[in-house]
Amino acid sequence: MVAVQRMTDRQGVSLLSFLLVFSPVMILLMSMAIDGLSTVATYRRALGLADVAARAGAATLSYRGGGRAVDTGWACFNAQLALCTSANCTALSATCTADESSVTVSVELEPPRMLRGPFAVGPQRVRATITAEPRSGIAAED
Amino acid sequence: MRSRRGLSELIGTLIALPLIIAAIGATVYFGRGFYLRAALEDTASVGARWASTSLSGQQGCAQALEAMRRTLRGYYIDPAGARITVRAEEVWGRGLFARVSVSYRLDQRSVPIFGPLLGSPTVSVSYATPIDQFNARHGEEGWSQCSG
Repeated sequence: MVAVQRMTDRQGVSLLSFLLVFSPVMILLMSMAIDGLSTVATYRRALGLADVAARAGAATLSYRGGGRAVDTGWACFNAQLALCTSANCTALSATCTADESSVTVSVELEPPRMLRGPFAVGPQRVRATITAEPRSGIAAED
Repeated sequence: MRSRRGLSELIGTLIALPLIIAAIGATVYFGRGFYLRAALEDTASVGARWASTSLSGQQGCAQALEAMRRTLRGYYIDPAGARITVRAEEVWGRGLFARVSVSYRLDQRSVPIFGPLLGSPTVSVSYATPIDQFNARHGEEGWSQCSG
């Protein structure tokens, strides 16, 4: 009878220790997988926003470049306008550089995360950079 | 004694099983959600690109719709279940903005634990892209809107 009791206790301890070790590991792995997917989705968002903004800026370059001096500040203003019309500007940080032939927009976003600190997977912020050039053939105001 | 040991293992399995199912359920639920989110981001971005790369105001919307449907198919998502709209917004002095939106209701009912608990979400993504009147001739013939 005593032997049976000991065996049951051992099983109980074994089960408890298994759950104590196994549950956090499982939750950790699950959170890592979800955080990884969240990072990918956020990167796609940053890429899309940078794409829209850079093309908006480049379209302005082609317009302003039609026989006039190229106004790179105007191109970046329009890139920012496109960015802020597509997304909440306060939740992202973006940089824009423009020259006579291209506009480069870089968008940085913070992906939603389940894990923080030492367990965090991947970058804390994702950055996407797109360079766009004016479309050929429509380079002048007509 | 053997039957007691078997009973103990059974109880252990019964306790661990819901945890395992919950972990799998959470991964599947959020995994599917984020996969859809990434796919819709790509789809809307492609739509925005195609909506603004047409000289004709009539063609821009139609080609954006077609490109978005193809992109969704590329992600193995049925375009028939997606709600796609391309409409014009007047926020610009020199043309208009095409607002490209795509939303999809993700059926999560079959996902264990989290499906019935959190329900089936509708994921929506939208981009606004400028259509310059000097780069498109929509001013002459108008810029048509569409949905699908």
